Amino acid sequence: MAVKRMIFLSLLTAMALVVSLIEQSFPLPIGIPGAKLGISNIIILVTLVLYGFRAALVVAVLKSVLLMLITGSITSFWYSLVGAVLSAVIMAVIFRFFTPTFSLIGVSEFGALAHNVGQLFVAMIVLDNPRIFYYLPVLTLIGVFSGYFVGLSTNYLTKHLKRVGHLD
Amino acid sequence: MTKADKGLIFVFVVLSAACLIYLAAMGLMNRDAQRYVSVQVNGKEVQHIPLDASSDGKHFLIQSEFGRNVLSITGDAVEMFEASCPDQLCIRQGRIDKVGQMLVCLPNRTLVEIKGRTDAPDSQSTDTNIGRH
Repeated sequence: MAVKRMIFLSLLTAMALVVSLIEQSFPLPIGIPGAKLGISNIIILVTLVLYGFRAALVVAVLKSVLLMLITGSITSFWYSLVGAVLSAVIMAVIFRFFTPTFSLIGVSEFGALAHNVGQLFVAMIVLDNPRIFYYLPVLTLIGVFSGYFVGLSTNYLTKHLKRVGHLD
Repeated sequence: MTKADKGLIFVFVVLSAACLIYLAAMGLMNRDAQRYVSVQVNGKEVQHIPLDASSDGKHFLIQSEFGRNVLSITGDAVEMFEASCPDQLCIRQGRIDKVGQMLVCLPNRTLVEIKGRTDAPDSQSTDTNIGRH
């Protein structure tokens, strides 16, 4: 059922895009420009749970590319791409190997941390100043909250989507 | 939510809080030291402004191939006054007055940082004070 899968993935990509756009209107008051809460991780985590790592990576990359086409901002493209890809990879690893220990909330906590580290890494390269990592503690504190809600939302979403049962 | 989740959240919160307290303490210790404002564009220091009476109430222009920013110094606090970037996030970052604090304008690749004299001086430093305007 390749077509069905493709349609579901494009729907997820569209949702991730919309969430990112909404998220963009709430820039964090502190810290580095372009730093986001990472709420669009909900969609990436849902994709990861339902379709696996490769699909999640595809959605993450597509989301970032399309977001760049919509907003026209190259700077936020790198932020978005590195943050999304890094958090997708980390979440996949945690989800695959530590999932009975950590629930989806734990997985998304790691995802939020990876998202922040990825963004700061981009900022470090752009500004050529490693001291930008001073922002990591603040971002981590915010990430703990957003990660919790991302995990909680993904829990509900996947539960209901699995019940629908037409995912493959 | 499992036990491990709670532990993880606890570790994250404690670690970042500890780092924040440590950074704040470092900033306080350097408070009395001679401080200066380091303006970096694309990783290179382009301006080196002492943070004292000589810079009080003045504006400083940061012009580069990436864009234009105007920095405002009042008392011992620094803030971004004007920016050519579309998002204006550097202005929203408000005023900074502690060593180690930064104002960042990523579209213009501009970073404004308060440093103490104890830090190793950067090799390049040209003063381009444009005075009051």
